[in-house]
Amino acid sequence: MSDVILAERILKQASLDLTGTPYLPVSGAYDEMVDSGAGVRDHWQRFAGYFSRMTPAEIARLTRETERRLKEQGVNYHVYHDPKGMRRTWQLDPLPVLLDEKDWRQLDAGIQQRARLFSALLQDIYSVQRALKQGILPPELILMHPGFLNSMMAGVPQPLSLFATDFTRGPDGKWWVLADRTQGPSGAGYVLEARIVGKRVLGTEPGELPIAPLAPFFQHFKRHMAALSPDKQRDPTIVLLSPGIGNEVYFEHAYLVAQLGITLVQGDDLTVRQGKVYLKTVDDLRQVDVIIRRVDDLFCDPLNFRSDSYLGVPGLAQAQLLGKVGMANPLGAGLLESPGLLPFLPKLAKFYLNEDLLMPNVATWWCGQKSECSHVLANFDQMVIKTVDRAAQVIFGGQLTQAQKVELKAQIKAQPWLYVGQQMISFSTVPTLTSNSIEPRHMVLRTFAVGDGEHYDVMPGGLARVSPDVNTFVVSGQVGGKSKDAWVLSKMPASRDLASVKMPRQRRTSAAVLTSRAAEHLFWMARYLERTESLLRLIRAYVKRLESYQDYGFESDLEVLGALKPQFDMYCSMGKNRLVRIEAVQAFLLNAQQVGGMSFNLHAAIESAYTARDLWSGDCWRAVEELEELLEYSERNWSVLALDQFTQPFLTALLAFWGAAQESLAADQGGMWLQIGRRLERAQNTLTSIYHLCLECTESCEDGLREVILEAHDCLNSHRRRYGTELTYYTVWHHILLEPTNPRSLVYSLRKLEPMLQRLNPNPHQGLMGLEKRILAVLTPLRLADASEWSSAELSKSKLAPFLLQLKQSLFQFGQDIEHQYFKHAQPVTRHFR
Amino acid sequence: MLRVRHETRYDYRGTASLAYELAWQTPLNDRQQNCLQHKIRIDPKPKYQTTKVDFFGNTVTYFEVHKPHHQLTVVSDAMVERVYRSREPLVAVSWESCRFEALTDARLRAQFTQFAYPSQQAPAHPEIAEYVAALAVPGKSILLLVSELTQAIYTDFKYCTGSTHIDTTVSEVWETREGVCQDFAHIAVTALRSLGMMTAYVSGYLLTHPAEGETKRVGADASHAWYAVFVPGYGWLHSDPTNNIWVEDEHITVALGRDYGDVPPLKGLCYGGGKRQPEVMVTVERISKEEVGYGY
Repeated sequence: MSDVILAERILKQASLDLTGTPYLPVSGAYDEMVDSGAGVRDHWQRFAGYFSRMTPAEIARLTRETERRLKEQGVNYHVYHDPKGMRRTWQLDPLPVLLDEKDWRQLDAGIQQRARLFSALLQDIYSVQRALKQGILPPELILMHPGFLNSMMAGVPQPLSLFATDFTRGPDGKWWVLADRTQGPSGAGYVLEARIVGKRVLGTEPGELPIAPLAPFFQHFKRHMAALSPDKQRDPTIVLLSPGIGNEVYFEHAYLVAQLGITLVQGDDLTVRQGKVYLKTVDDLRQVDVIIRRVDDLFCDPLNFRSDSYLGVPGLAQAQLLGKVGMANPLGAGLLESPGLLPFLPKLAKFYLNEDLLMPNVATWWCGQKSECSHVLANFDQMVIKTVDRAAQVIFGGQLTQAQKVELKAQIKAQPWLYVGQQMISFSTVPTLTSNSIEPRHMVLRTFAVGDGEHYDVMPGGLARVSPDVNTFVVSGQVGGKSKDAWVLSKMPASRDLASVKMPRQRRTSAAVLTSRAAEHLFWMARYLERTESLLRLIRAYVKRLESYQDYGFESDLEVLGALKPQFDMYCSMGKNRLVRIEAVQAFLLNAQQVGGMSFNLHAAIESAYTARDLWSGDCWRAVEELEELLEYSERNWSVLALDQFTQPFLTALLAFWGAAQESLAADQGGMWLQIGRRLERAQNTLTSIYHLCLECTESCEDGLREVILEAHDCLNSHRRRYGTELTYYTVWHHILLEPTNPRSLVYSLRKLEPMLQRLNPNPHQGLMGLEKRILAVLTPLRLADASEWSSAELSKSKLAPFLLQLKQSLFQFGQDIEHQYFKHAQPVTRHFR
Repeated sequence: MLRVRHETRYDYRGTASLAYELAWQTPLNDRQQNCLQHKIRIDPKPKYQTTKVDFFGNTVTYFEVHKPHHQLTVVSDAMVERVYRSREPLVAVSWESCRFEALTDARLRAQFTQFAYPSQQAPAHPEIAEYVAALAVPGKSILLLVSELTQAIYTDFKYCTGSTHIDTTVSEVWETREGVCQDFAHIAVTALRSLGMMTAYVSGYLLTHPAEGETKRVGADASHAWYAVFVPGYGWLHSDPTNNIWVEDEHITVALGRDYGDVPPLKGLCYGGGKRQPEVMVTVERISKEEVGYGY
């Protein structure tokens, strides 16, 4: 070795002395950054320099900043309202995996070929089955796979559009395919998010590297999706079918639809009519041309597959078979994920493409063949055992107890076609942030491709997932693994690269539409939030009186407090005792089990917000999350917090949400339903509250009670400004019920509803529709009313109360009509057989 | 010549707004029968109706009812000519030669794979495997093995209407030794597949009133079921364990599948309506050639 090289090597090693602890690659594994001679690979040089200057403080900053930005973006990977209380935020390591251009070109070509191969296989399996009839594939491999769907045979053929592959790099530096994902591959949205956050937190130095951009991939994505539409005349309506907020990658579904400008739907939003798929919107049924499917195929159609599924659409299989809807990916594609196919791919590449397979698979033995099966059983301890249908589940043969081994071996012998054995391979390692240094962790790289069966576009880079510690190869997010962005370093500067991408002419797609379900959720979310708001104001006013009573012991305060009890009962029954005690108020606020309480209402509102996740602007979503965090914090700490310590933060957070919503959510994108829900709820609350108050009016507590009620309706100040210290029945009733300029008055809320209903009327020239008439029926008597007719306790009880009761009933009917007219999809399904 | 009318009626307590249904009710055309005529009438009239041939070669009807309804009726009328096939050639065929393993032609293997292995409603069952293993003496003719198995099920199991339902598992039937025709067919299918034979569950009908002097068959008033074994070079050999008879000119074959789940006469779902059991009526009568053309 010449001195120069030696010196260079020493220099490189020195630069690897990161943050005081040396970066030590794992023996027996390929390290992405450091070569076998402990030198830094060329494309990592810049990063290694950056690492060498890294201090523990900088590491802490990176971790903190990443978390903060992810939170700001609302990224999560969790199941909302999981009964097990699992709430994981997505774990992102901002340090990317770097791939040099040469390396990437090889992967890119391999992925494209693989995608073409799988698309050809998919179309063959569900049509003539050439590969089976010519003996290229053993029939059990396909026909006995639980993902082979008999009922999808012989339909209009559709390509495999979306294709993901999990790669690893072996000790020899070669890429190996671990598994393919064809069902509804997730992760592409997370890459985009990781890129945005990663580049920002790492700052300018690494950010200056010539990184191949992601934007073209998403443009190709949309282009390919649009091209799937069977109807070439109209701008296609594209939807993403999601299992809903219970799904752990629901965030990605909402994120992708927002990026692509398409509509997020669940099974209930769609309906099949005459073999075509339609979307239920608030106005009518609208034909869907393309479905991006994130629901596993067996759950997609309760008529044809699992009849117990509530995630699907009855008749969806027929729609695909008839070619009336483009599916990405087609029902039946789940079969391609079978690891049992891996050993046959070289033969299939020759058969379908007349090409040699470019990307090798990790050595895999399908037990459906006798000799392969005995090989797996004989070398059990060195094998990774997988079932062909749930490839994500991995069993390490060597880690089983003797009894477990015997049991598993017996299962394999009984149904050998369901199992494969895979060679254990040491995954490559990559520099990964730990709490205080940078250490090697094993990684798997998931790549993404989109195409039409013939041509595929591959996302440069992908989503790398790293193991939680250096001794394990399990990289799932469920066991604490982290994700990483993968940067493909190209020679061309990033900006020019983006500009030079030639994009085939894009088909226009029709704008995202508001589903009937989303509208319903917004309507109810608004109602729950408004209810919470009035509840909080009531409590604030109540607690103030209660404290004053405890301090001074005035009888009149006690009277007022007693008179307020029915106000609580409006929301939920508070028991027989006339005085609602502070503990009961606390439970009422924060016990999530208490139906009608604040916690209950807020959870319902937040759940609705999640369901309409794709509609919110960033600011709006942050307001929702702040509410959620505040709620969680308060629920945890309610015993040590004084009531007024959280009533005010909640009110502020609610107002922040309303402000953000008002400013960002367009009326036709759901803003109107939010407003309708809010105004209706407020009108109803005011009516009910004043009605109960009228019944409680007595001579002894009048002034105090009227003041509290003005406070509870947030009108005390405006009342004072208008009437000074005058506080009579007339002024209060007029101000809360009839004053058209008071934004908290009943008349004001109802009048706000009118223009929105006008917008809903499809034929205004034909006159008012039923809903408009209902509102007029409430509003007109109020406008004709004169508060001087209710100017005493007696008159309030005898005249105002019955008047309000009648209005209350009309308004209730109005709410019912809205639900019936616009949200009628929620009908129970009856299943019958035989 | 046989004529069948199969009527299914659902009465709903409430109003059903939308219904999606799949019906396997069109008799099969194969070497043992010609389906001369078939008509399916649905009330209320479906907004959309289409038929296709399923993976196993059966005709399946898909329909959508969009009109709100309280009652759904499906009436299927068919006329079928049975073709007699001699079982004589099977006397010399050993059961081992009928195993899936023995098939070498990839085309045939692909066609019959799913009949050779356990399926959802006929999963592997060690005791049933033993039950049939006792009969499967090496070299025994397929004809004898099938007739012995049919006989055994007929003798060992008790026919009991209402003792089971569509979700009853094979092992429950095995434990109680009671069941209806579907259950007996599943037992036979499970048994023969354990020997590696390609075995189908068959859905169909049985003549309601056989010739004078003969007793009425069991299972004739509803849709019926039995099993069939595939014999290479011959085709499907059908046997009816419920009545301990070969399937000749008193049966009408509708569909072959791995088990009941592949070929239910009618399955579907509707929105609203509430749960209700269907009423099913089946009439099969023998008609002379001259009568063909009447009543249609």
